[in-house]
Parts: sequence; C-alpha cells; structure tokens
Amino acid sequence: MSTRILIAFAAAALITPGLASAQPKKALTAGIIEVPGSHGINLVNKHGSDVRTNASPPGQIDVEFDRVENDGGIVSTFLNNTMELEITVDGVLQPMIVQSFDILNGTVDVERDLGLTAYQNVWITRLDLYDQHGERFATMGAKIRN
Amino acid sequence: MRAMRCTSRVILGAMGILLASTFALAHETSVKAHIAGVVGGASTVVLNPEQTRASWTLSSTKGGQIQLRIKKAEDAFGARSFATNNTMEMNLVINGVPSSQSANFDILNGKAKLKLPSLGLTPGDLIEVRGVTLEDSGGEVFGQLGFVVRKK
Repeated sequence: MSTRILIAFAAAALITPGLASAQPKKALTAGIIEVPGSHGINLVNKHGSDVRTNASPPGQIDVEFDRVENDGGIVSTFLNNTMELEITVDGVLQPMIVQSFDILNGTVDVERDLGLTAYQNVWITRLDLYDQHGERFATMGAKIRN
Repeated sequence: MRAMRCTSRVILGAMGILLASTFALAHETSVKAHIAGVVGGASTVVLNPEQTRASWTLSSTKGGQIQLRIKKAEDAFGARSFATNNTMEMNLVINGVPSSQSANFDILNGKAKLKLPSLGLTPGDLIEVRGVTLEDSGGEVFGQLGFVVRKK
C-alpha cells in the first residue's frame, strides 16, 4: 500500500512541472517591485508579486501579491488601491485602464480583460499601482537577487 | 522493514521539497516580455506577427542582465531581414534614478541575439522598466515592449 502511495507522489511530483510548462505562453511576465521611497505598503518580494499578460483574446492582465506588509512588518489590509495601465493598440494610445482593488490580509489578485482581438499589436506603455492616497507604491520591474 | 520505512520518509521528504520549490518559483522576479512590431511603420525591418519571434529579458540575477532575441524578422518584401546598425533604447529607472540606455545590434538573416554586460547591480536594487524601443539605422521604430494578440 505504501509503495502505491509513494508511486502516486512520485508521479504527481513529475507531472506538476510538466503541467506548468504546458500552460499557454504568457506575452509578458514581470516582477512587481516597490517604488523606492514609497511607504505604507511594502511588498515582500521573497513571497512573490508579479504581473502576467495573456496574449489570447480578449487579453487579460493579472497582478498578484502573496504578501504585503505595513511599515511595521505586519501583514495588513489596504483598501481602495488603484492599478493604472496604459497600452497602445495598433499604434493608437488607448484610454488609460484604471482598476480598483483591495489588498486583504496581505494578498491580492487583480485581473482585468483588455478587450483585444487576434493579431492586434499591443505595446505596454505603463503599469503603476497607487495606494488610496494616490501615492505610487509599485510598478513593473525587477529586484536584483543573488 | 525499518530500512524500508526510513527510505519511504526520505523519498516523501524529497517529494515535499520538490513540490515546495515548484510553487516557490511560481512568481516572476525578472521581466520577460515580447516585442511587438509597428503597424504601417516606415521601417525597413518588419516584425511579422505571424512569423517573427522577438523577446526582451531583464534577469534579476547576475547583477541584472538584459537580452534581446529576434527570429524571423522580415524586410518590406517579406524576405528575411538583413539590417545593420539598429538600436535598442531602454528607459529604465534604477533605484529611483532615471537611466536611459541604448545598445546597437545587427539583424542578419532575420536573426538578432544581443546579450548586454551585467548592469553591475547588487541584491535588493530595484529596476523599473518604463519602455523598450527598437529602431532601425534610420531612426524608425520597428518594435516596442508588448505583444501580438494570438488567435484563441
């Protein structure tokens, strides 16, 4: 019996990375980093925060944080934040996409359909996150690690 | 029997570590983006959405390393592009300080592969990506950070 369980675990462990790589390729995957000098909302990068864009119609942008802390290092709730996204579609700058979101107990997953159709050329011009006071606290980028 | 139990625990432990590491790596710390072409642009370099593969990567390791890769770029007639002296313009903000950087590259037979030297940053440094633009030798833009929407 235990041998069967072990085989099942082994199969699951081997299949999990395979499933991950079989997912549709993302058009963009990037880290979300804190803005230097901002305060109040602190991203804990080792727990992960990122943005992903799906290139299949209608095109979806997905911003996710796994752990957000206040200045005291405590996992916290932050309400009434805003994501601002600027894209250019086929050379035409689109009206700014604004999406409100709440960070509840340090986590958030913001999803937004972009209303795109096949073969459109999309340039990502800007992605910024603002707190309820309008202070920019996060943006697209990379945090250097070892 | 005892040896078998011990082996089982070791295998289970290894499986746990493997699964944990799989989920721990789920989030992206670098920037991996496609480069989208220009619709109706004046450049002689064409990034055909059905043929060309172009990507730009900023790695969060090795002090921050930037790479550009292009495959199957075309000229105005749909043939593989030969275009020298192109420029990659990057609008970055490093630790809050704007930093515009550029690098030259050639496209030969539709291909380009550019790997820049490390930015020389240290762990914890922050790099905002505000824009990446590709220009041909005449200064015409033919690509920018973005993507082409695919058929479902």
